[in-house]
Parts: sequence; structure tokens; C-alpha cells
Amino acid sequence: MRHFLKSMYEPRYLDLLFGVLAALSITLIAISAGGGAPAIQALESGWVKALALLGSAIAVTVISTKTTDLDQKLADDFIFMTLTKSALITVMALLIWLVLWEVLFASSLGSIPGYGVLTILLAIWSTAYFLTRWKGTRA
Amino acid sequence: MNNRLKVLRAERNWSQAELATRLEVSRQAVNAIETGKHDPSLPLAFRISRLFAMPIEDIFLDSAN
Repeated sequence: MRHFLKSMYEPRYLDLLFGVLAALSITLIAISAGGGAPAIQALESGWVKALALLGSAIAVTVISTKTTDLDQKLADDFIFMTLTKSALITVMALLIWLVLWEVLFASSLGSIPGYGVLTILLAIWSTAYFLTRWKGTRA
Repeated sequence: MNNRLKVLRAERNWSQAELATRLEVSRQAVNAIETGKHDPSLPLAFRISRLFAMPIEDIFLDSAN
């Protein structure tokens, strides 16, 4: 079982995964550029929403911490470093991109909905992954 | 950090894939270390040291020195 799980972290499978994610994000960006989906009206508001947001965020963070531990155990040194470095690049790039978009383009091209941000995240992460694979993990 | 991994591997007539199997890492990881694109973690450096029966500092050279 462990051998099977470890084999899933082989670079060729991750290359394929990030290639598919890149293609998917480009497709979704192209589709969503035409117009956004209508917003869903919230049934609850105020502190209930705040608690739900905070609780779900903490729960997802705890689960992600555990799954990342598993990634670290199963992926080899180079692949884990590639994944973590590209994820760090993605976080920084996404934050900067979001601010720049809101400041420079939102007034003329419109704000980006949540799912639009997700597709941009996938596009950035795929790009960062392949750049790190090519360039290496050293600074 | 520079290293002598490629030389040590060549001395034993091992391919990158063979060394990768012995170290339980991917061939790409061995290639990245040999070409200086990746510095191994301490646990992996110890595995390499045990495999070649050499001290870590004889395999990995501190470029600051």
C-alpha cells in the first residue's frame, strides 16, 4: 500500500497533474471571462456567518496540515521541496495579483468572483511548479 | 553547496536510476542534486553518506569555504 502511495508522487505523474490543472485553469478563465455566475444570496448573516467562516477555515487548515505531513512522508526530498516552494510562490503571487487587479483593472474590467480567483490560483500554481521543476529548488 | 555525487556514482558504474532506487528517491531527485539544482535534506544526506560509506562533508562541499 505504501509503495503504491509513494509511486503516486513520481515526478511524471505530478507533471501530468499540473499539466491538466494548467489546461483546466486556462479553459475556466476563458469561459468565465465572458461573464460571471450570479451571486447566491446568503440565508444567514452576521455572527453566524463569521463563525461558519472561521470554523471552516480552521477545520480545513488542520486537515491540510495532516495531509501535508502525509505528502512529506510519501514524496521524495526534491518533489516535496518543489511542491512547497511552488505553493509559496503561488500564495505570494496570488496576493500581489489580487491587489493589483483590484487597484488597476477592477474598475474597467470588473472584480473577479471567488471561483475566478480559484482558477487563477491553479494557473499560477501550475506555472510555479513547472518553473521550479526546470530551475531547481535552490535559491 | 557543491557535491561529488556524480563522481562517486560513476566510480561505481551506477546509473542515476540505480542510485535513485538505492536511495529510495526519484531519478529526477538524483539528477537535481548532481546538477546542483537541489540541496538534499539532512535525512537524505545521511542516507547518501551511509550508501557510499563516507562522511557527509566528503560528499557535500560547503561553498562558503
